[in-house]
Amino acid sequence: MMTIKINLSYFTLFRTSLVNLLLVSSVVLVLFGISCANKTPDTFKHSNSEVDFASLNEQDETYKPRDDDFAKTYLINREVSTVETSSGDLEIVNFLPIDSIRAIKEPTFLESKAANQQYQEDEPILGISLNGQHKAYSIPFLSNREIVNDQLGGVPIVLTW
Amino acid sequence: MVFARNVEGQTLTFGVSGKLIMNALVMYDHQTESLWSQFLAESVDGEFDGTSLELIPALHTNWGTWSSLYPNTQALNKGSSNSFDPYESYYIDNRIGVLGETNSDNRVSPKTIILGLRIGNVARAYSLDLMENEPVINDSSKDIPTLIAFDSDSGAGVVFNREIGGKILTFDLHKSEMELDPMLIDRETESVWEMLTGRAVEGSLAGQELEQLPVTLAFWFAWKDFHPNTEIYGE
Repeated sequence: MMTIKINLSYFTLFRTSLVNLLLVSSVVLVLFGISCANKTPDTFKHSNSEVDFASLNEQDETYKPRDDDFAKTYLINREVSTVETSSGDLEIVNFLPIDSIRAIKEPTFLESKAANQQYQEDEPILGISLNGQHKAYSIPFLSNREIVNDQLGGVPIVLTW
Repeated sequence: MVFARNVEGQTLTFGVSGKLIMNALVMYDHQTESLWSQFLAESVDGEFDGTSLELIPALHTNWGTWSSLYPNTQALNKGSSNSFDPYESYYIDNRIGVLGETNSDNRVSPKTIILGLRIGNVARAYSLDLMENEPVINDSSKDIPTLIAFDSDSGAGVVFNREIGGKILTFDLHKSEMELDPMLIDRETESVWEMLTGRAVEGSLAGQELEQLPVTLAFWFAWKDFHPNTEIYGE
């Protein structure tokens, strides 16, 4: 269950000691640094609230665009809530607008020989072997997209990074 | 991390919610808009609140190693995008997450990379620094005899159940001039095994395959936030 405490400042995250005040200022700097420098321009293509849901999901019939109320609730930046989990109550923070990093829903693949043109020998990958089928996913690529929805060996899978 | 998308008879598709729990990805599913924590492998809000996701074992290695183990593998088409990794500097600098750490537990340094294994409610962590010197660990976790193996050349770490056909095996590194890929040998039958696939290729068990267990490659600071009671191997 989620109890929403809208618009709490960062200080509620770190209320324990004075030392943490220092942490907070560094966190703000880090947040700023990350949003400016650590993401590719692609990341922020949809960072305003007008997310283009149609183009996001054009090939998925089961998906329906969310309504405005949902968007309003979830697009408020830095909203802090608490969720109950199997590891106890944890804080959940709105860090970026929903879908500002676009998950992949229709990945395409190369056969091994063709992939040698795109992949370096030492390129980090995540490899999965399932029911006799094998696939490799570039980790630098996953870092940019965070989520890939796919199928392997007849099993629908999702990769997260 | 890799999960099955079939949940209670429904095939879900996932997107990036933009939310974080202790610095880690929170997904949402397009079908019910439930929120799912990557590290906890469970839904934390919405219709599926409390439902677990099934983890699928995956190997973190490099393209050269993987394509030699599985010559008929496919690879994700990156299209025209380059391979710039936005987190590249983050892997090596001293910053901890984007929101600071939650639990202060510095039994090992926060940015140490570990293999995290969770079986039931027991979590164990194996630091890659330690595994540079001890690449093959015969261990057990929650009554399951485990084999933890690390190939420092390709940076790949794997975990297997080392019980096969009712017999528990004990593994050592198998040094061979002939093989490019790292190999193991078991003391009980002296069969030779590929470290990264768990397939026996020589000896009386040739053709057998160990059951691979899902393992998480993570920074220690991220893992301990989610699994504060983790036992650290070698501590």
